[in-house]
Amino acid sequence: MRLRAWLWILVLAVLAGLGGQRLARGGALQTDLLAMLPETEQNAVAERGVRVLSQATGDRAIFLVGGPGATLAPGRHFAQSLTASGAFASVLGTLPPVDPTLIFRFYAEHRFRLPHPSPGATVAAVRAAVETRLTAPMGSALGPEADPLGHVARFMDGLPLNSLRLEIQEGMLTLRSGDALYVLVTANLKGSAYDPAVQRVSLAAVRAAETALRAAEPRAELLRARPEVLRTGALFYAADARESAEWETGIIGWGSLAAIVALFLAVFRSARHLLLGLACVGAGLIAATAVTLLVFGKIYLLTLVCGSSMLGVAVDYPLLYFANQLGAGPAWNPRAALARLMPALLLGVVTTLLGYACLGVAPFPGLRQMAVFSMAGLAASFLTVLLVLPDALGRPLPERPRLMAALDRAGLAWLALGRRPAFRVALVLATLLAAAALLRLRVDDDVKSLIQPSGTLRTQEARIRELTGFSNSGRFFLVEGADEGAVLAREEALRARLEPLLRLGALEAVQAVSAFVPSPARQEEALRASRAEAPLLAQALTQVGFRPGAVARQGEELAAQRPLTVAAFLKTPFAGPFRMFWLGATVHGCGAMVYPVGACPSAQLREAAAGLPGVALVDKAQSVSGLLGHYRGLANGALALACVLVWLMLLWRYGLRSGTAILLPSLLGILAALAGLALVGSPLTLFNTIALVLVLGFGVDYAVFLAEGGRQSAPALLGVLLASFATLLSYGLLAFSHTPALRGFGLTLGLGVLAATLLAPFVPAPKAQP
Amino acid sequence: MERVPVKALCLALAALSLNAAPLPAALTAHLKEAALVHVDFTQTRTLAALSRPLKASGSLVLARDLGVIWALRKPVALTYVMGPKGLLVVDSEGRRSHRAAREAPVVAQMGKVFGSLIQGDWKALDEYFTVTGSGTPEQWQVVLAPKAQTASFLKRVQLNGGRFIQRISILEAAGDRMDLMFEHQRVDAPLTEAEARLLAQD
Repeated sequence: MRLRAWLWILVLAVLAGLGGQRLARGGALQTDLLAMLPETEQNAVAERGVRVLSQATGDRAIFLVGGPGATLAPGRHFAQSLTASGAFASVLGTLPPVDPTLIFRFYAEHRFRLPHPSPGATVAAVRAAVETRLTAPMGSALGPEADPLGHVARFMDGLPLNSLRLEIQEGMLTLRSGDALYVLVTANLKGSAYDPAVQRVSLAAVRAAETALRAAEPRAELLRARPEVLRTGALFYAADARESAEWETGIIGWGSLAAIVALFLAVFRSARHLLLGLACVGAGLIAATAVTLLVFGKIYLLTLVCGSSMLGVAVDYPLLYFANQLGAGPAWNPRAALARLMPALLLGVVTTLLGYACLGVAPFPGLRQMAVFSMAGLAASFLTVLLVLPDALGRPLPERPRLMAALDRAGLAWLALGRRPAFRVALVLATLLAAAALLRLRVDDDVKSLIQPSGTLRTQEARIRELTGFSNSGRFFLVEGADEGAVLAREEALRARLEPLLRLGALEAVQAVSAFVPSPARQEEALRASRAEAPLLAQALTQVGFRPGAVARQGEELAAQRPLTVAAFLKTPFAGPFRMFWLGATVHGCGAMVYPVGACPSAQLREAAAGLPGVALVDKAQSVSGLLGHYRGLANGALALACVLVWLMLLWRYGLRSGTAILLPSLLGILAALAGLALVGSPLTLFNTIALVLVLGFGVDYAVFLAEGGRQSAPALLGVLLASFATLLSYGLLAFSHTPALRGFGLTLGLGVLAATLLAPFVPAPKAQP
Repeated sequence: MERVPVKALCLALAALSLNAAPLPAALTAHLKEAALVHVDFTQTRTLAALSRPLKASGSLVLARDLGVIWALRKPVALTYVMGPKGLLVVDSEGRRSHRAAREAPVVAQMGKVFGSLIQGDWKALDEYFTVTGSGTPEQWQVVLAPKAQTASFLKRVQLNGGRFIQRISILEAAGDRMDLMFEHQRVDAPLTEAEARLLAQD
């Protein structure tokens, strides 16, 4: 072998080493499909809010244990098993004892600053208010001195502490629905929900706890319905997505590999050629993975899944070369053959790279990675063909005259069929019908079509949402202002606007820090009112029978009132679930999130908040869907651009007539794919548009190979047929994926490539321009 | 976050023991289990901050499955209705304010506890109290000693009775106390139309 072949192998080895080193360090495989999505918010503070929310819900697994007629026992056992497993950072089944008076005492210290209705303008009215307070059957945990007018109790009634429909029984958070009883168990993961090691350990612990639950069930319980374990959390979705993707990569990847191996052996009858073909593909995969890791530091699962389909493309170049060798017979000269093939191969590679490069134009991390991955892999495969294969293919292949003859006959028969008027009429009709079918094509940019978790997980999440009112819609109002006071005041204005939605039931609750900490303006207003009411209160307390010392203490406490601050609230233990809503100091001053709970449409929320300064609704799912739509538009533009660029390149080489004819099978392939989508009822998504870009690349490749090789040349026909078949086997198999995005991709590509392959032989032989 | 006004809860529990069977069962087995009880009450609050105890009086209606009407007559006229639908408060001029059970789960929980107590289910108390009893069925005393959390602000609840319950005393940790005296029990007297409407809370 020559030096340059060795050098190239050395480059590949270095790449493999670097990539392997990165993979060995761990955490390089990114299974969070949503992480592929670009940042949608122009406002960095909003992105921070999105991250805070997804972390808060992402690092937790939530279970509801119980069912119709269940007791608390299964929930307690389940929580104990999870704790004992040591697989979780913490498991919350039984609540730690919290002093229930703590929250009352916290507000009692600031009671004169809490917004309150006027107790009345006369001593008699204030006295009645004090007496009502002292005699009410629902006292609070506070003594009458700490809250003589009930300001604290009234304020606390308005707190959104109980937006989840939970109650405490024997120290456990429980939930009743009809005769069904559930215990809520939450478990905090030891790491990221997307870390396969964390997934393995956590899921094993959950499975063991379920088994233990069934084993521990007393006989009497067996007569009733089995306790069920409902679950939700990013952990389960991520594990599900990973397992399904791994399975699909296995089936589709290995399946297509096996088919391609069989094809090689059947056609070339040479293990050497099989190994060389695989080496080209392997070189492509190694280079693709290593370059992606070096450029991005991480590799997305979806990139790998699509990458496993790269096999089909990467194998095209050795296939065409080997087909040429098979046709050459004893006169085989590897370098001369390569030189003859070069224009077609180069044109094919350049058009395909052009198509891939268009993917990388959109500022979409997932697409960019796929573009880099596929371009690097393709280039490496092509270089392997160029630099290594000529040295490795010195000896001619045994001739296959019968195969070649059969191909000749088939090619001629197909061309003869193409010359029949009836066939041409049918082709024109089919084209018109396909064009008409385009009218039925739907567009769908919903980000949810990217991910389709298993049906069980979705029903369980829906059940938990229905039972608890817990939902992670991922949307919130971002409230910003110059300082804490401004943010709280703006939150109050927003909450007042949302009040009608709460009354109508469109929203179940609105969670916000300002519900716990009134704005300084409102605190001052309440304090002024309290000062004005103080003389009346003193007289009323005296009339009721309070001792002079107790009356005087009210006045002292009023004088000593300190402002209620967010910092003080956040330090209390009951602030736990609400801490994440306070973003605090930001680049714009101060920020916070107001979290609406309920199924109210985003448009209605946005309308309610219209015109409020410093308030914006952030709806990640909607923003992402909007962005996907925007990129679909961009990708459509890129497709059109690629068509024009490829056309110009073909014109430059083949002239107007032939150049256009070579482009035609690809365009018809694109039309066929679109019509197929419309007929199946599958929507047009960003991913389908990407597939169309690839159809263009492949279609032009095949037409060029046939045109350059002479369309009646059996080796060229063999090469194209093998390449097309390999593509269908790899990319086309994605049509059977469970992930909607991949399924649409496979379907589009499969239909387009099939149509382009069938039409390519009809392209008349061009006269190459000098 | 637990938000149980325990004083109110045990007051309600205790009030309900009028016709439930408090532990030990032998002492109070004769308490007739009734679906409906009307009773008058006098409430005396003795507070360190007050130079004289504050007295209040009114009447109480306990209806199984429907809820409780706590009608205060003096010193202010106010009617509280606690039931599965939530809490309804009606003032002397007929102005109503309502809190749904969904917004005020504690009230709903109280309603549930009422129900179980009216049906003689004393297990509901186990979570909050240790229950002991003494005396004879004609003159008995039951003491509820609070467990862990409740003990931080409640010292003891004491119930005295004979054929009917007569007195409930709630002693708070801070030294304050509340005494409830009951008289004129009327068992199974039908609900008036007004009472039925209040209990329906609509």
